[in-house]
Amino acid sequence: MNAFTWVEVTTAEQAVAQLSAARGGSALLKAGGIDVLDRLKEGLDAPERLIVLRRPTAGSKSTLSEISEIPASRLPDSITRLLPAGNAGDAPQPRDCLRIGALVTLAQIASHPTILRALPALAQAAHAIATPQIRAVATIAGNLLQRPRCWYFRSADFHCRKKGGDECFALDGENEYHAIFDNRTCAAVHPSGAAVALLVLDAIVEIQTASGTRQQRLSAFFVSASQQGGDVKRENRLEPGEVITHLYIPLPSPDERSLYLKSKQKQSFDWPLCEVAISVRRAPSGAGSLLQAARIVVGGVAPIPWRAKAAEAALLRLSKLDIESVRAIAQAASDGARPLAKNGYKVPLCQGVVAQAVMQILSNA
Amino acid sequence: MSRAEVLVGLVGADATLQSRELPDGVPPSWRESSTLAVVGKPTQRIDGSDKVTGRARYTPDIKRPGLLHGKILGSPHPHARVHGVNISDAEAQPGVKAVVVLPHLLGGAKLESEKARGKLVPVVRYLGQPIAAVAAETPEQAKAALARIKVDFEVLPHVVDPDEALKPNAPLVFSGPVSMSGSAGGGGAKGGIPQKGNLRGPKRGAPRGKDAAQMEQAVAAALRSGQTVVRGTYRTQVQTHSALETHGLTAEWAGDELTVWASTQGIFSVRDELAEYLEIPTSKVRVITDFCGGGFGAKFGAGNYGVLAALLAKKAAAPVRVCLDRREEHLAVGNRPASEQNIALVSGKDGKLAAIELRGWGAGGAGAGAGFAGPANNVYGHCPAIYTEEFDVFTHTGPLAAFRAPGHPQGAFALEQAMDELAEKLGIDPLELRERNDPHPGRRLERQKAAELFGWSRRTLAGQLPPEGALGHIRRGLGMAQGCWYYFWSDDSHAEVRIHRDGTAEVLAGVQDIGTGVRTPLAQVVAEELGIPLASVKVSIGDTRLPVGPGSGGSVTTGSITPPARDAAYQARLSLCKEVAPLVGAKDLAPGPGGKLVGTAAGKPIELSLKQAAAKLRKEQVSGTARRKPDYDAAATNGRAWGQTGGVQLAEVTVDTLTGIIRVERIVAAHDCGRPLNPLLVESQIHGGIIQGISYALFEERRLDRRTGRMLNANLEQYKIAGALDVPRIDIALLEDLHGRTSTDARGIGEPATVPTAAAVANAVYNAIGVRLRELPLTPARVLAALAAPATGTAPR
Amino acid sequence: MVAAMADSDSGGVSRRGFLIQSGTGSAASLLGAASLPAVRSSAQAAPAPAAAPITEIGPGPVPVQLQVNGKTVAARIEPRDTLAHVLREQLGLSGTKIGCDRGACGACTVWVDGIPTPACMTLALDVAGTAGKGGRAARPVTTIEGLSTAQGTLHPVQDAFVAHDALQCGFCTPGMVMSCAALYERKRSQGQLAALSEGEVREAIAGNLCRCGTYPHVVRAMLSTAKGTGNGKNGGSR
Repeated sequence: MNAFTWVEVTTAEQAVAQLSAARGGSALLKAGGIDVLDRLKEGLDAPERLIVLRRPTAGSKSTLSEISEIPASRLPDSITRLLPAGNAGDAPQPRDCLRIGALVTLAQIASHPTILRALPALAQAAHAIATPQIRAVATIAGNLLQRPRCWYFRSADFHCRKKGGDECFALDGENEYHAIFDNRTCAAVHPSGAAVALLVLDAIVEIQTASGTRQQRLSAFFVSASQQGGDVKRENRLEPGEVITHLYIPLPSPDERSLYLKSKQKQSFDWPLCEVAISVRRAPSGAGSLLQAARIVVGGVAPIPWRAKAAEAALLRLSKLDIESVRAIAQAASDGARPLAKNGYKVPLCQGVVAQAVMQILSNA
Repeated sequence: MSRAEVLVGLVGADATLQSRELPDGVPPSWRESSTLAVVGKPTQRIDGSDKVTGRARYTPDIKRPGLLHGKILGSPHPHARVHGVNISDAEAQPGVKAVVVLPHLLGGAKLESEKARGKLVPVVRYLGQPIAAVAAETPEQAKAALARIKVDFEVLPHVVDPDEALKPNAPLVFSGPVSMSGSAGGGGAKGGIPQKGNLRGPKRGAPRGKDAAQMEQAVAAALRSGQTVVRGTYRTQVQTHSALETHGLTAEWAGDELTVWASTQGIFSVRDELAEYLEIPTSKVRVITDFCGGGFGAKFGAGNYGVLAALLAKKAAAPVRVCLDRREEHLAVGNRPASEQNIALVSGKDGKLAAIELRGWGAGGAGAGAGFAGPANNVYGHCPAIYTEEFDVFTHTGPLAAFRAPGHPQGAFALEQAMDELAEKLGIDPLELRERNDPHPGRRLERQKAAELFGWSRRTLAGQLPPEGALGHIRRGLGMAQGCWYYFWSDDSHAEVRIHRDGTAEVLAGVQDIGTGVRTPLAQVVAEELGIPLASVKVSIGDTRLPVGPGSGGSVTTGSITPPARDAAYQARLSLCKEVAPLVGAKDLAPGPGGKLVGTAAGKPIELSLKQAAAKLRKEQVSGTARRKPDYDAAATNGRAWGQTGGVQLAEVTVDTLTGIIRVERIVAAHDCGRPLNPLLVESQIHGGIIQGISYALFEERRLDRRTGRMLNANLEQYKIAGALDVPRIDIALLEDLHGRTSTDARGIGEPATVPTAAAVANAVYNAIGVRLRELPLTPARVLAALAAPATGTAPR
Repeated sequence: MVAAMADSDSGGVSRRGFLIQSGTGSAASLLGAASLPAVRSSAQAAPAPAAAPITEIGPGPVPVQLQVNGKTVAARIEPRDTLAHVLREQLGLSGTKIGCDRGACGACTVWVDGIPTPACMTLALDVAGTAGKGGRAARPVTTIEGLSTAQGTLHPVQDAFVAHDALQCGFCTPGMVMSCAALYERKRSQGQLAALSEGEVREAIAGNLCRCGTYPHVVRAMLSTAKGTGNGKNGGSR
């Protein structure tokens, strides 16, 4: 690890100011620090200044480290306008939301009563991440922003595209754990399990910028190299010097359900081979189909959390629950997959995990 | 010599009293452990509280005044010629106190020609191969200075994949014939074996006492005989030892005397190797190992890191600690070799094996990796025709080291799956097939006990248990496998026992605790012999100033060191009798049962406890010493397969056919290890063997990038080791198998416990899904590919 | 066992490194002219809470206080020093082990604020207290050495580990014990100790690798100590 200057701040504004002040030198933001320390120890980053965003000391409060319910009546317009509309064409209406501060830890999320009750996909995803020790320290924003775990990227010995090099070593290398979608520029998979869950929950991310704050749907936050505005060296649209401050998640209505499943080789601390989050809203009885809304997002298969739109469409057409229909929906989850030499198994795996998720959520719905 | 009645056999089964020739100076033989006070009882570790409080000091915990931190420069290339090393810039860096170049490399195979030339090895044969080292005031300074060492490399083409290494124009790892010295943990390869390209061999094998050439012909004849034949090709991966404490050594010189604190399984092998390498007298080297954070076979000898620590300490005139980081640990200090095994079994319709043929290669990087034929040659040794042929394949990767039952988990994976396949083909239950071919009395009883505990009768033919789960995607399967290990011991094992005037005792023995907890059985046998409480016995181990003990490898420790410890205690009692007899007026005072001294004084029988007797001493202590006696009465085998340790394991798994994920739900393990001195600690080791076996079966694999030769998962995150949520329910049946060979009748359990696990899991997976996976690890990728493949029954590669 | 605090340093400013606490008004020399207004304006823009002062430390070593095992101790650390490194090398608390140095094995587990935390992935400054105006209090750290009492009485979990042989080589043991003792204390404070389940124990130690494979005995030790049967002397596990 290189020697660096520790710059400690307690507000996002300070953090942004410090990050922008570092021009001419390098600065890196640390919250929980799990991913940052990993990168520093591997020599992937060597900042001159580590900007440490801390919880304020006891006594003073900060929304950065809080989970709170924001009633619809107090929801800022900037959030409301990004909520999903009830019906196509309608303007979104304010809804009760849960606001999660950027410094909230994964352990807090995994055990929070409201999240456990209303947003089970998020609680399950947070619980499935890493180890109890890491979850106690790692923050939700850090989880969203951590860099991929691709073993070529994580080794300083490989100057890959993500580091400004001109090749992806995984493409004809050891790619068993790599992407099956959108993998021709960089085959690393997105590492955030929480993102997979947050995406099916229509989460909105709030970002501190040098001039104020901006809000964005999380579904528009992650971007792969091949997408418009994509940059292989980044996994999202957070600009240099910006800091995530909060997540807003609309609290579901009684007819909505969500869940998250993670398929991992090892049950104690492992990254997913494939993970899926699903949320559905039941259709009123007599509607012909079982559901009126569905989201399926698959992780571990693409450079960003992967929305399985064909599977969602198939799920929305479902009129009765049987194994054959579930298998057909699952089949659609891998539409467009182009596996590499050693990760062909992720195609049936992705289908299998989606099938289990669909079966489980419909059995419980 | 004298004859005595000795209990021999399986306690509770066929144990009988037999007459044996006992050497002089040994105590009377113990009967079954239920008649004993301390030995054979589940007994907590006497050093347990040191380990749970953090008081136990491991090598990286040793602090010395002025301690410097050493870091090693490993080669960044898998294959290169070194034309020069310039250290002057590094020496001038802040905090740097010494920089040294490694004079010659330890470990791995050596070119005969290089050996003849001696000294410097100018060729790098694996990435991470140590070249030089720096000692500095802080680890960060040492690391920074490494970058200033200038090595003039001529980078050469490399090959890290065994299949590639076998191709005609593959880069050569060795340009000529090689040999490799072994360690106390096994390994080693004699010279004089043919070598072509990167392929060395064959080493031809057959059961002990049989001629390989004759066996080869007999096998060929059986294969032509028209009987049932089962063939298969099995592959196993490279597993790294990954002890939680990395290799490390702290060296400190005082004048011309060297003291080292080493993380080792063999304090004396570290001492001897350092003395030889540094060309100093053995008597000037002292090695101390209070605690060692796991070795599993890879921690014998001084190691290149140890030599570098000693050289740095000399040059810096200050103590130097060199402890490897996790990446170096994966790269440069050993592994279990990969293998490819082609096996053929020939059997009559009655299930009697007519022949076993095994041919294949082992790939241990820049070392000789063959050595998986043990199970084939020994488990079904009654089979009339057994022939094995093994090759080493060299690659530009770190050399192998002995790893818990070297060769056996690999060999069992192939042999026991082939047996499973044969059983199915013949329509015979897999346990019954073993019954017909394996008369080993231990395993026979183990099969019976394990089957009862497990409920083996639930097993059906493959794929026939009802599917589970909402989508019917969970398949359940049951499988079994068995293994063998050997009764090894080191007769160069010595102990001293001192009895103090207050009735307490001390046992001194130059062994080391690698986690098996040897202090405790040492204390138990001495307490039992002396008839005193366990707490009254102080155990001193882990120092080369103590009487010479065995290296902890090959499962030899308990069977080597507890007999001399008991014998020394007996000798100390004899001394005590001699000292005390005149003081109590009993000329005939002699050791009696329960540690008592008995005799006749003034015509009346007297009896003294050890404490009473010791209190009468007119000197500080009496002591006894003993060396490990040869086994009693070697001729008296009585038909017992006493040279082999058994082990039978039954596995229950579920396979998620949608995700390919295998969960091991239960293992029942039945094992023998002579007289289990401490069933609690034996159970711990069996758990460990099974869990390592599951980890080997499902998770672990060194992953290399072929193009660059670099290891991609040199950490504990992507190198996957079983954690608490991956561990099944484990039930153990432990036999008490008395052999009447030594004064404690103990044998090791560390190795046999890990031999059959991966094979048992693989057989259970087959039973679950009806497709046989012939390559380790059994990953979801392989399961899904196998399920997707047309039903050829061959596993994907 | 505790490193001496650099005596020549006062007010939190050392000679080799520097440790400066600054409010928004005094940061000019550090932040440069360009950045200062940004800090000011953003601090003003935030209605609540008021921004705490920005603290700048290093890159050289600075004196700090750590609160370890109930005692306040002085140390001299660089910002890049991990908690594991400082505990082991400066404070002589070598019970905390480093196995992988990447948070994957749990050997370095200590409690910070009573919660199991990977000390190898925690920078010492994350828990250190800083002196002087604007300094902050250290966060309490408990290591394996602090779990048993000074009189040598073992924590019930430590007792149970010994009784049930929940250890082999012992290298993972301190971290394993810290994870288990935290679970024990949490269940006890909830009055739920007797209801401790095998699943809870396994989850609690899912981040503690044991290469020797002691997990079954760890589970057995925890379940029996939770039910008050864990401290039998010999053969307690039978």
